[in-house]
Amino acid sequence: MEWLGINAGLGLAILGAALAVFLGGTGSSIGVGIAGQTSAGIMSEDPEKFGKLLLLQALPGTQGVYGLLIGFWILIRLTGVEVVTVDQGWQLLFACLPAAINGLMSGIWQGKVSAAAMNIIVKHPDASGKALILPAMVETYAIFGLLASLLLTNRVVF
Amino acid sequence: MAVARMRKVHIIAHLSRKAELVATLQEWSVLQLAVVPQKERHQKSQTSATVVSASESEAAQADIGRALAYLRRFDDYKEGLIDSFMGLKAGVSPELDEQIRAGFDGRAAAQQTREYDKRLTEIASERRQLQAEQSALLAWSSLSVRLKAELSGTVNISFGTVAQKDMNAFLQRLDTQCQGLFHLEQVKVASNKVNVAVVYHASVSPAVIKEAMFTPTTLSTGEETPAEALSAVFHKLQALDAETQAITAASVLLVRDKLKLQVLYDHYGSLLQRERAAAGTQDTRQTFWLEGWTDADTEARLTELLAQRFPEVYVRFDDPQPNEKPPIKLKNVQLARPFELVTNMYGWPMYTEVDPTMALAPFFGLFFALALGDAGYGLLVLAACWWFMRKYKPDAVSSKFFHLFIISGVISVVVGFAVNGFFGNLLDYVPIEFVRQIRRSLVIINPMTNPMGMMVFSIALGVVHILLGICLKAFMTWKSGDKLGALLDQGSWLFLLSSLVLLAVTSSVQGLSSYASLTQYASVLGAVLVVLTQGRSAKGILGKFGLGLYALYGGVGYFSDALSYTRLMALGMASAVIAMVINTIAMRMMMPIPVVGWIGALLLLVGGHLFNLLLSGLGCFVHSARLQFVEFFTKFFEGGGVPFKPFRRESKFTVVRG
Repeated sequence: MEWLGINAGLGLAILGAALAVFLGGTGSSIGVGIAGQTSAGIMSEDPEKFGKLLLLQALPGTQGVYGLLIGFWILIRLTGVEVVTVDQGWQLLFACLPAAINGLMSGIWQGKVSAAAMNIIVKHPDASGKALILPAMVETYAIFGLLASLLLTNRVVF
Repeated sequence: MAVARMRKVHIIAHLSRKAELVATLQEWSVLQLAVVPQKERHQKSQTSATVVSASESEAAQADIGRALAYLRRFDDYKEGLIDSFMGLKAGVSPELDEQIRAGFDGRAAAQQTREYDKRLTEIASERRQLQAEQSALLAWSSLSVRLKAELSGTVNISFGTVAQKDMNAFLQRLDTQCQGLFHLEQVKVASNKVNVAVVYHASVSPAVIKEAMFTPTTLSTGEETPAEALSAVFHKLQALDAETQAITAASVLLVRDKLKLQVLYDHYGSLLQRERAAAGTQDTRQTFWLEGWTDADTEARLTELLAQRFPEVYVRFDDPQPNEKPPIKLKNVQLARPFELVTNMYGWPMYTEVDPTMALAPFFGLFFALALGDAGYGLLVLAACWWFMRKYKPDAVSSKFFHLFIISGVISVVVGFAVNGFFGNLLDYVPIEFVRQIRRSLVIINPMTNPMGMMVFSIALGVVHILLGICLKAFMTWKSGDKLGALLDQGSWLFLLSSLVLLAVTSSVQGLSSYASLTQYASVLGAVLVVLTQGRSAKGILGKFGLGLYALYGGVGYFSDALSYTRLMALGMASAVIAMVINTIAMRMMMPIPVVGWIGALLLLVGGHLFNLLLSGLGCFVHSARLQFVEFFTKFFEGGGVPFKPFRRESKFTVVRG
């Protein structure tokens, strides 16, 4: 791994953190974007639904937060560490991937489900509670990705 | 933990008492009326005559509704985000309600607004017309001839436009066709077009002029010059503006009567309800027969009330027949009642089912607290609920929502300290050793240093939750009379799952390893039991065995269910880490710059923690609910009941309360 440079370990770790933030954030921006378009469409007809629509639009936003969280988690783990070996770097990089990739995919799909669930709010305002649960089913997998990444990064020994 | 026992009520009385009885029942609000479908009615029963008069209240309500819709255009008060979210209604004292209904002529006010509305629409269309006229006249304003009057009869006048590039050709053709008998006035040149007025001898036909590349314009030809006509139009527009202003001012004044109109709207609504209820009874020539539902606890009170007020009325209470589906009323202890909201998000239990509210209440609160994982945020939730309840004074139904969060908030405070969370690690920055010591002494599991421990705890909680679900199913099956089914179906699974739990405990806890082999045998026995019992419904030995094996395979579902509870730990850690990051950044910001740094740090702390609370709080609520619906309810609960809706004054805008 010499071609990567002397401090390759640190670089790999940072790459992992960056990937988590970047992919999670991308998933969320797409998801929140999809949901936002739908809510804007609904609000052009019925602006009073703002509150409920906002909640649904916010739901696919968590993947970005989880990604950011893993990024910070790596940062916290690295504070005070003098040298990150290439091995540790790879370990941290891979440990970040569940949160990153799960975040990307689930963010997009959660956005789609959120947008669809907004129709429930339009047609059956009383069932808004149920509409909140459907997108949360997708989020489960982002949470599991986050969980795996948290536990895996914790296993890396310095 | 129960679905209230319901009683079917039959009331039979003389027709003359119907209106009063229905009104009184609406006031008591204890009875849900069962409207008997037309085809199921007794043949000799008559359709009520009151159906016709229902239109009176309906028309009044519609009138006032339109008036309110009209007045909303002039209302400065805009409904806030929270108002629209809560659907809050204005509180009105009974005296005020009475006073408004007696002293305020709502339909006159409605009539007034209708006239205003009609006039405003007319003004708008008049204005459009005048504006069109105005823009047409503007192009001719420099023409000084009177549009019509000055013609002596020997000449005609035509107005129109000619393209500028065609001007010369037009003049030539005009000259030849009119043989010089014309006068042309160029009025205005604009965007390559020239407005012209052509005066020509009466012997020349207007069609000839038109042929010469001339696009005619019709002006509202009057007795005045275009400039005079313009100023007349302008004055008319001004008059319309003044009238609009006057109507707007009068309408703004009428907005003061909004509450009165709303009271009347709801009053007519409740009259309409009564009329509809009265129309739903089965009538003979002299009597009517009203059917309804009430819960068994209310039976005695209703009987007594009726005996006092309507002693001549016949009342009978029946238990629901097997083919009837009584409406569902939940009956829970005070502390569990707010959690009915969670149950109702999923649905209502059937009459024969168990109400899951009591079972889910402690778990919901605990899940919420674990997923939030922060005592400070718990306190914020409590403060927010306290503020909302004080400010908005919500009614009983909306209060449930806040009570739910108050209970969950209290649990969050306790659990938050136990998992080492108070606005993340904010207390670590307090320079008093004593405070930090207290905080440390309260911690039971710190998920930051011991994430595995927290995860195991989450799963353990989940296992208890799932086992409770299976127990409830067993209870229901037992109660329905299928005692063998309860023992074999749920019993075998309970045995297998609890053996597996014990196996996991004995093989991981040091001191208990001697029991490990015992629990292994028990687990194998459990698996055999499941295979032997679960295929009962299939035909033939092989079929039974195969179905049993398949059922055992289905047990994988229990594992994935249990693992699903790890989300509690992940959500808790997520909010804790974000809180920690906010604190770290804020503290770093505070150090280098004296005053500005402190302000910035404070803003960051307040904003950051609020943001984290909102986002985590939403997730906590949604995922705590999901664990109930997907992991817990699937074990025993079907739902599909119809809620009990007593006949009472349903209102859109106002609530009458003392």
